[in-house]
Amino acid sequence: MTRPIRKLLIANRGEIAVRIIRTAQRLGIATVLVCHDLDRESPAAALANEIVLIDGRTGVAAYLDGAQILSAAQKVGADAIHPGYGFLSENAPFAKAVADAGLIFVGPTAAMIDLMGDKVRARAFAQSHGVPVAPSVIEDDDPANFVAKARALGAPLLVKPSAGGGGKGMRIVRDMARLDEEIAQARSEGARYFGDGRLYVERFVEEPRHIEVQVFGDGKGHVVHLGERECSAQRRFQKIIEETPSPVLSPAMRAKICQAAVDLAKAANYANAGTVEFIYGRDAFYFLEMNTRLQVEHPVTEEVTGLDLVEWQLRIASGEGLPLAQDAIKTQGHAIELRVYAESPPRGFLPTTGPLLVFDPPEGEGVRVDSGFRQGQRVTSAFDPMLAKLIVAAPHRGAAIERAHEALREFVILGCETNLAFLDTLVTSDAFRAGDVHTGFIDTHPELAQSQALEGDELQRVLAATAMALPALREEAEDIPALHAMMGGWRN
Amino acid sequence: MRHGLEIDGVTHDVFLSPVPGGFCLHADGQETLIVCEGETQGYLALAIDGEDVDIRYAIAGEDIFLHMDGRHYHLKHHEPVRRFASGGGDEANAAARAPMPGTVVRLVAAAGQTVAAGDALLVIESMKLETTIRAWRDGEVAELHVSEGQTFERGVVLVSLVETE
Repeated sequence: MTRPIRKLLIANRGEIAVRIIRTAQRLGIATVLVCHDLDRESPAAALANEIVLIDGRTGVAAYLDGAQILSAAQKVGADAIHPGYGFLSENAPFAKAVADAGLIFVGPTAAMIDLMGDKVRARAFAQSHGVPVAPSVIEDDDPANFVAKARALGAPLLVKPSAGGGGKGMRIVRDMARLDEEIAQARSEGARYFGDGRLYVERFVEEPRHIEVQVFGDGKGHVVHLGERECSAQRRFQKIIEETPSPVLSPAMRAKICQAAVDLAKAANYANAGTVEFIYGRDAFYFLEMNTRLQVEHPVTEEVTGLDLVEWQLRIASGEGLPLAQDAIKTQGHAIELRVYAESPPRGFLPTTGPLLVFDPPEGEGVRVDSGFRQGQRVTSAFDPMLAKLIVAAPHRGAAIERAHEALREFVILGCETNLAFLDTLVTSDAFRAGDVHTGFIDTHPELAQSQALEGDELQRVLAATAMALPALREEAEDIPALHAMMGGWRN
Repeated sequence: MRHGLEIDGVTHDVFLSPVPGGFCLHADGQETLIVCEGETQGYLALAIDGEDVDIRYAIAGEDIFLHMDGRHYHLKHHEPVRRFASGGGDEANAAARAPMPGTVVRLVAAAGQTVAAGDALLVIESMKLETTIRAWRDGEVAELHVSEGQTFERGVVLVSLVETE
C-alpha cells in the first residue's frame, strides 16, 4: 500500500537540508524546514517552502529536540519527516514516536535503528547471518575471562567501547604487556562518553581500509546495493575524502563485499537507505557497523550511478518499493568527494570561525558542490565546521584526481581559514594517487598538514597583490609624484 | 610611507611607488614591477614582473584575505611608519617620526654611520608589534633622537638622515 508524501518536514540543517529540499521540490513535494534562529539566513531556510522556528538552549539542542520537531510536523500537517544525517537520524525513540504519531519516518524502523545502534548486537547479528566479522571477544560479565580471551586472540588488537562511535575510547594494542592497562582506560572512557563501560576487543587490521556499501531495502525482504565507497582518508577517525569505486578492490572482492552487505540487509528485512561499513585489509574484510541513514558521502554514489538517493528514500518511504532491480543499476566512471572544513590543518585541524567575506565555489563539468553556506554568512562554533562537500566525477580515477585538484584551486573562500590547501596536498599526493591511503595514513603523516613557508617569488607576488589591494598604499603612490621622481632617480 | 604587511608571523616593510604605466613594490630590499590590467571591487587583474595573475581579495579591518594562483593567503596590514621632512622642507635632511606611541626596542645604527636605502636603523615596538625603521635612502645617520628602552609619543622624531656627498 502506498502513502504518498505531499508535505515533508526536514529535521536537519545545512547542506543536507538543502540537498533534501531540492529533491523533494523536484518531486512536487512541499517542504517545511525546522530552523533555529541561528539558521534563519541560511540557504536551506531561503529554499524551503515553509519554515518553523524551533528553540533550545543551543542550536544543536534545538535540532535534537524530537518532541518539539514532531509537534511542529503535526502542526504544519506534514505527512513525513526526513531526518538527514546526524541529529535525530539514528535516534530509535524518535523514529518510533514519528511512526506512532501516524507520520512517515524517512528511514528504517525504530527496531532496526536500535539493533544497528548497538555495536555488540549488530556484530552478533552479522556473524549469525554469515557476514565476516573480525576475530573478537565480546565483553560478558566476566572481566577476568574477557581479558584472557582477548589475550588469546593475539596482537595487534583493537579495544573499543561497545556503545562507542567517532573513535572515542578506541585503542590499538600492539604490546600485549599493556593489554590490562589499555582495557581499564577504554572501559573508563566508554563509561564517561557513552555511560556504558562494556567493551569489545577484536583483531586489528594493520593499514586498514574503510570500505562501505550503499544498500536500499523495501522492508519486504528485497535489497539492492549501489556499489561501494572507500573512505580511508581519515583524520582522527573522521572521513575527509571519499571515493567510488575503491582503488584497492579487485572485481571479485568488490562483488563479495557488496553481496555480504546485501545479505546482512536482507537478513534484517531492512527498509530504506543504509550503509554497511567494513574494514578491509590483507584480502580480508570484516563487518564494522551499519549506518541506518543517508551518509554524508552519498553524492559519490549518485555521481557514478546517475541516481538520486534522496528520491529513492522518499519513494521507498511512501511504499513504492525499490525503484530499480539490481541488474538495472549500473555504475560509470569515478567520483571523489572532498569535505571542505573551516579548520586549521597546521594547528592540529582546530576548527576556525569567521565571516565568509567571499564564498565562491567552483563550477564546471563533473564538478558539484553541496553546501549549506552562502557568502556573507558567518562561520561560528555553534555547528559542525563543514563548509561544503566538493564532489568531482570523471571517466577514470586519474582524471577525477586532476579535476579535484583544479576545483580545489578554484574554490575561493575569503575570511575564514579552511582545509582547501590540505585537501589539495592530500588528493595529489603520491600515496593517494597510488591508492595507498589507509585509515591511519594522515595521522602518521603530519607533514601533509603543515603549510609551506612563503618565500622568494611567491612571497613577493603575494606582497605585491596585497599592496595593490590596499587603498592606502595605492593612494600614497599616486599622490606623491615628487617622491616618485626621487625614487626613480635612485634606481637608475 | 612604509606599511607593515604581516604574513606567517613575519612583518615585511613595503611601499608602492609609481613608475610609468604601473607601480613598483619595494619590499625586503627587492623591487617588483606591477601593472594593473583591470580591477573591480574584490578583483584585481595584475601583471607582476610580467606574469599575468587574477586575484580575489577581501579586506576586514587590518585583515587582508587573498586568493591567487590557486592558493589562499591571510595577511595583516600594520599602520605605516610615517616620515616627514624635519622642518624647513629640506629633503636632504629628512627624519622618521613615530607613527604611534611606542618603545624603542634597540638601536641598530649609530650617528655618523653611512647607510644604504633599506638598512635597519632601529627597532620600535608599538601595540605589541615590532617594526624595523629602515633607511629610506642612501645617506649618513645624522642623529638617533631616542635611546633603547625609551617610550615615545606619536609624531616624535626617531632618526634623521643627511645626504652624503
